[in-house]
Amino acid sequence: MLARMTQYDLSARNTVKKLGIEIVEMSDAPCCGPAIIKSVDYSMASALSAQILAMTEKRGLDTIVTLCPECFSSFIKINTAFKDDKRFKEEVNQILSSTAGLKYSGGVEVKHLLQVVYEDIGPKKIEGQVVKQFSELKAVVQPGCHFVRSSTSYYPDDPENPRLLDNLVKSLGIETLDWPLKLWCCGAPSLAFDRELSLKMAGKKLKSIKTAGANCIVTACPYCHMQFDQNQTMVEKRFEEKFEIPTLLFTQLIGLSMGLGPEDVGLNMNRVSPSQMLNFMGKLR
Amino acid sequence: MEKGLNLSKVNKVFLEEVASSHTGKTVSYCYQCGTCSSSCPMVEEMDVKPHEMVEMIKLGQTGALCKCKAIWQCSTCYMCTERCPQEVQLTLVILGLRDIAMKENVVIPDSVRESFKNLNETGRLIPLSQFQKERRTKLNLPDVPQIDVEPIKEMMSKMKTADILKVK
Repeated sequence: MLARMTQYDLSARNTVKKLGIEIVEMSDAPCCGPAIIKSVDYSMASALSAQILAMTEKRGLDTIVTLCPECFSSFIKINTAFKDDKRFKEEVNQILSSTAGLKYSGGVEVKHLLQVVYEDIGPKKIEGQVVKQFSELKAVVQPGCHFVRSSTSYYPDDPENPRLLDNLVKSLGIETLDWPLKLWCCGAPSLAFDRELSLKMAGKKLKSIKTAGANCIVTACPYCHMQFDQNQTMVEKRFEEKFEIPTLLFTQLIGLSMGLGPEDVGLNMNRVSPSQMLNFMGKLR
Repeated sequence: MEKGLNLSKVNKVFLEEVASSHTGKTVSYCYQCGTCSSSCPMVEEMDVKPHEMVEMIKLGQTGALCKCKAIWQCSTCYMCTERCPQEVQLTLVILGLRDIAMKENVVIPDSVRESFKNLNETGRLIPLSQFQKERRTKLNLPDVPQIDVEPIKEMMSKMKTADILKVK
């Protein structure tokens, strides 16, 4: 599925190519039925999520990989609900068959790209492909909410002590720091409804990151990325404090570590520029 | 009365809907331990705390719930749901309350309206701008594909979404 955040789309495609992963693109997939749709009509949101899973099944594929944790969370909810609640399964399939002519059996495995990279490729292989070690980076990871806490019956990572993204960053030879507000939401989903509150949340997180001594944020979610990157100057204005902490998507960091150039991972599209920091470390041309 | 509770106005229809809903029925498991509220990153800013919301639902207080800001302040981080010892699906319940609030208050936030409009027309919540599309071409990224929106239109016309969007 195409990512609206261009640097994520670009860096993901180039990184998976470098890692030797072949992708089958679902370019006809509509919206997955995220929270804003769930707010209005949970059944319709569920039907949208199930539709994409049904389309995957129809193509004879057994796994779907998402770039976005909200899509991931929507799909996981369908899979777990279909197992626990037969009435719900029937209800959603009824909507699907009468509108899209599809039915979903519940058998598609759902993964986030982070899982594919860390679990299927594995840290040893990634370590072996690192040609540039950004060892002067002191990174913090933003585990993100919808990947870590998508369901109470499926855990891709420990919800109280998520390590997946940290371990991935460590396999690139980069240190990660722990910090008090690590588990908190970045506040991005509240932007549409209470902008000031949303930016306040981001500000509290950025302050905590700054206090921890980090000079880089790594995230696996485009929403978190937008909040810390695009919205950082807005947060700085409100908090009257400079942060200047670059945020990289994990696909950007992996790509750079494996020797891809900054233009291959869309670094110029990040608003808080890491180039200065990385240049200073003499690592980027 | 504090928080706008009015125990002489209990919305019984709402209570029946909650009890029969896939997520709403979990509200009955709550024993008011307060873990949800103490886990919520937004709680300091909320006019009604998460555990208070659950109690208000049990008391059928849709009037007060529809007026509170807290249901819109929730960032859907699922911390409450994750930590609830009784597995109350609180985040999804809060999202459900937004639907009721939109109908009762007869107002839809612009972001919701825009999202549904885009979904109906393009199959995506937020369309890419011309600038973004051109940039994709320059970077040799695939063009934005056409999505078949017929199923979405069907869903919207048959389901309760249609009612909500009739609201101003």
